[in-house]
Amino acid sequence: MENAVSPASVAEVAEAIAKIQQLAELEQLRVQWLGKKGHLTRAMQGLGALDPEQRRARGAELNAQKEAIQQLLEQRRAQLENELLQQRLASESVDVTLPGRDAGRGSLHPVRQTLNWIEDYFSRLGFEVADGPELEDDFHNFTALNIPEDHPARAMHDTFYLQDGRVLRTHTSPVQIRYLETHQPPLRMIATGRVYRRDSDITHTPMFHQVEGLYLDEGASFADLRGLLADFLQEFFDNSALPVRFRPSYFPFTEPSAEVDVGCVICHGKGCRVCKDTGWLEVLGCGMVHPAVLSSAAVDQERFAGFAFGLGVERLTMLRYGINDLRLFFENDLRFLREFA
Amino acid sequence: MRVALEWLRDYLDTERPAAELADILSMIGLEVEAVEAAAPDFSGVLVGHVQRVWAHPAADKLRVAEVDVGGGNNCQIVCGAANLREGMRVAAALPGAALPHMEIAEAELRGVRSAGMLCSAAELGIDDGSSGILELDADAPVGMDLRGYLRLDDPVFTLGITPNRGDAFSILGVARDLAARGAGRFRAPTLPAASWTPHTGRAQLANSLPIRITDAARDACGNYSALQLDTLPQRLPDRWRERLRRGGQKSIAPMVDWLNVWMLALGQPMHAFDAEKIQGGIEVRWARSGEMLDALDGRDLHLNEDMLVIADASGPVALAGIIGGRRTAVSTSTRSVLLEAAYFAARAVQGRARRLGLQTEAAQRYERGVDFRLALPAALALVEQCGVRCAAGATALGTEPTLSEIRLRPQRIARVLGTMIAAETVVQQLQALGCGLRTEGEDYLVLPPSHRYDLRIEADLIEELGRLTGYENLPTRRPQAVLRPLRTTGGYRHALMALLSARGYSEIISYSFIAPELQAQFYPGVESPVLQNPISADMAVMRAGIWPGLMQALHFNRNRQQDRQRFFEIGRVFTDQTQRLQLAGAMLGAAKAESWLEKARASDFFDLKGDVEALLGLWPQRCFRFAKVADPALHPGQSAEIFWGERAVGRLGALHPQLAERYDFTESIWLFALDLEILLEASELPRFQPLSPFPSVRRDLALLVPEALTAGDVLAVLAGAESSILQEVSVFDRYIGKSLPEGQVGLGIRLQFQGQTSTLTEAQVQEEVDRLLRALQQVAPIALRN
Repeated sequence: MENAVSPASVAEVAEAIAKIQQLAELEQLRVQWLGKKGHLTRAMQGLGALDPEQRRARGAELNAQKEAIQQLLEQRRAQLENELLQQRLASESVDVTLPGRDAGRGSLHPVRQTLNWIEDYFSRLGFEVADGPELEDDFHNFTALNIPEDHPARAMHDTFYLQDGRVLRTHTSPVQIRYLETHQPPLRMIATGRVYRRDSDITHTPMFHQVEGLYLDEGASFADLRGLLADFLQEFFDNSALPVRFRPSYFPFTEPSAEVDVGCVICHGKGCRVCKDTGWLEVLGCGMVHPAVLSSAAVDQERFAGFAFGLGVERLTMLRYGINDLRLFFENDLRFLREFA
Repeated sequence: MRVALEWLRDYLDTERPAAELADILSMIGLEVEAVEAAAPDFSGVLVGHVQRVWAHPAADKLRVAEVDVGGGNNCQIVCGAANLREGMRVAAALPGAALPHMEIAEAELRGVRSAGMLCSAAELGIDDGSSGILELDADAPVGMDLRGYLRLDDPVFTLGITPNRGDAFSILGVARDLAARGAGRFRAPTLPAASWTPHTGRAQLANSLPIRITDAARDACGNYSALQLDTLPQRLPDRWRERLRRGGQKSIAPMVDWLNVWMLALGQPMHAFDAEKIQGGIEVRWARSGEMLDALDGRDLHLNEDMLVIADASGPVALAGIIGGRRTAVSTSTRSVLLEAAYFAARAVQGRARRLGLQTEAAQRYERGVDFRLALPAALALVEQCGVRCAAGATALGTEPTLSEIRLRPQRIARVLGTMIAAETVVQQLQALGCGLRTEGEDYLVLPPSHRYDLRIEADLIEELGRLTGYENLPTRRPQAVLRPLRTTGGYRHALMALLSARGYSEIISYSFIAPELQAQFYPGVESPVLQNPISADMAVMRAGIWPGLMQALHFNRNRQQDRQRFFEIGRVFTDQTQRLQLAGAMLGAAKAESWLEKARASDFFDLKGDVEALLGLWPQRCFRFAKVADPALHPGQSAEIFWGERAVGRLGALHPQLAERYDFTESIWLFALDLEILLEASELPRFQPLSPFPSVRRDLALLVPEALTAGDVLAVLAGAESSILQEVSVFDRYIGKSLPEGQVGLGIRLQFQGQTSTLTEAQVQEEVDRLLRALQQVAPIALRN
């Protein structure tokens, strides 16, 4: 048996290990050499029979062989285990290009997205988002806004009337009045929501959305109104160089009043169908709050002044996304809605 | 309003090109909606003089004319117009001429050579309402190009006049405004003064026709002048005919045409009566109930007591400032005209025309306000202009508006506009508008002119200064304000929408008004507001809920091959008393989007409920309860009401199969609706519960319960048993089968126990399980199943 653990043994074992393909065979080999009855174990046991000098030299030799074999076994084991792991992983691979389990995407209506954007924008500037009824009384929708009965300005609004005499609000401006009934300046608010006018053709729907803004403070002037709205429009259309133009106009509840145009976002001022070749798009109306409105709200006009603005959400949405037909908003075609997911 | 530049120059001395004037007009608040040439493109049309006319040898309806077209050329032209006659000046299109809709070439008509065409106004694109060929003035320069003669290349502006600018509803007013902005020099017309004295209340024409303003009508009629004209005007000269046409008016008859021209020029509407048809005298008074007017537009108008009329002895002859009557209308047989020039107060005219379904040029101007000192001078100027003889005139006075001084404080101008306006600019601009000015200390005292009695308060004047300075020349700055915290309210709404969107729902927006029949199907017995003037019958009532809108969206998209749909909408719903915010959703089709992974499964109640529970999960500290409900729109066995405490906050379920069938749906439609008014009430903060460090113990109970007992009942009993160690209860199984006794169902209930102060012993847990079982058995015969 001594021969079995000759110095050549390690090389023999190494050769055998290299051929092994199974973890079990490796274990067999380990037992064969290092097990209780293994070649090396027994050789070690036989050391006692040698004289001390020989024993030391032979012992050192056997220990070196044992360590060498152990290392070879370990290396091979790690190799085999890794191969096994690789095999398993390969068998577990999936076609990553197949689609995942989908809950189905939903979407917010483009008009809602514009409303959210605007509410968020003004909230960040400290405007409170207020709300008001859609079925309004004549007082809040007209009279309190300095639009007396029979005033020609009423012809600007084709009003829906209810059988009980109330109206479907024709604008979000009555929310100004309701807000002033419960709040005193300084104040900043916007109101958003549905409004109704008895008009239906290619560019009008009987229901649409508006945003109303009201700002009252000491020292608020027309200059502030211009600054606020110019910032808003440039941010909304994501163009800090967007031309913004204020043009005198008339609303009964503001004075001075203005309509606001932006440089055409479609043709950039070159002239196109959307801007009727003017290079300008009218996007909102605004002005300093009319003294009649302030005095009916008992606001101290020597101390406070302010401005109001109103805009049509559908129009801004169309310009923002390049939508060319107003009626698409209320058809609720799923394909249309999903474009804005 | 249409403003011809050529006409504008009568009152405005300016060299500025049309494009520049258009910009200025828009920037002073007279919005230019369009700029166009006075006529469409055409060429090769000359002023011709008809020398000779003879019959066409081969056609009854045609005649042949020899026309002098200048330069010694006479052309032979065949013409079919009835008004062709020797000596008239005509528009002759020579061979090679290009008209808006045709090219002219030499031709032979029934064997007669025709070297051109004599044109009607319509053929030239300048239709003025005349028939036959266009007849030009007798002194029109023969051979001159027609475009040059009629100045047809001159531009016409279409202006949008806002309701506050009565003063700008005339060529004169527009010129004045442009001049005030510095776009030219204003040429004020000199209007003649009357030779007679006005009388308060009543006056008398020389031929003894009395004129009277009733006491009650004096505020409504500031002055009323009547001029008796013995001769009628001749045909309008070409220049004025063109102006009338460019002003957007058709030619009717010379008298009416002149009145219209004058109204366009000066802004003063006038009316002409056939003097011989006025019976008795003229009275300006309020209409009497039941009175009628046979109006010029051919309709019989029913008058109200708040309508101002001009009446004679037999009743109303005109609705003041709006429209005249047929009985006293001027006709071809009229020999003498009674010309009315009056000031009617805006509030006596406003709204009446609209109520009667009328829109007249006169009403548009009176409603906005006409210069109250203009009527008589304008009438006298017209008499001069159109060369008629005024035999007599008289004026009755009512109560004219009073003009009072307005205090204008320089520091107020600066506060509103954000900048000081130089004193000389203030004076110059306000004077340009016709205001009188004097100073008192720092302040100005401003007296508005009679054409601007819309100027009443300081803000009105500041607006004028801003407008004439130009908004583009005023400063811009970012507002400065005191920081103040705000209560945010939109958070839950946004969270609800985000959650639904993440779960596959697309937001829709449907109309707030729906068809009454649809409403009755979904919400029978609910009273909701009815529109007085709906736009159509299927938009006639305010919706009581959102389900009909959702159903219509499902229907619309199903017809476009969309098999799986999820929609939601947030909006108000209405009853006679309330307008509440509702969130509603609908689902149709498979539970999951079509996939290679698993087989499609139809959506069921619990898909819907899962979505609703996820929404309610935004308020984890609130306890919601579902109970069966009878809803006429829902499947009676698959519908539930949701309660928060005692308050109903919503419903969900399958659309009633009968209702679904009406809209051709064979599969189930799942609907939910939540009352956001309640859900969005101020929310409570969650209370912290200490976390137990001890292990928890799970017990699964297989219960046999009577079929009538719901899972909700079982859970309610367990929740009500007030166990101190029961942490969580869930249903893990529900089964029905032959192995179970008749009328019983199996319910798997999972209980999770945990002690707060120590690890629970087996005995403690068993004791609590027994106690809970006893509590259940008190409610119904419930057994444990092996």
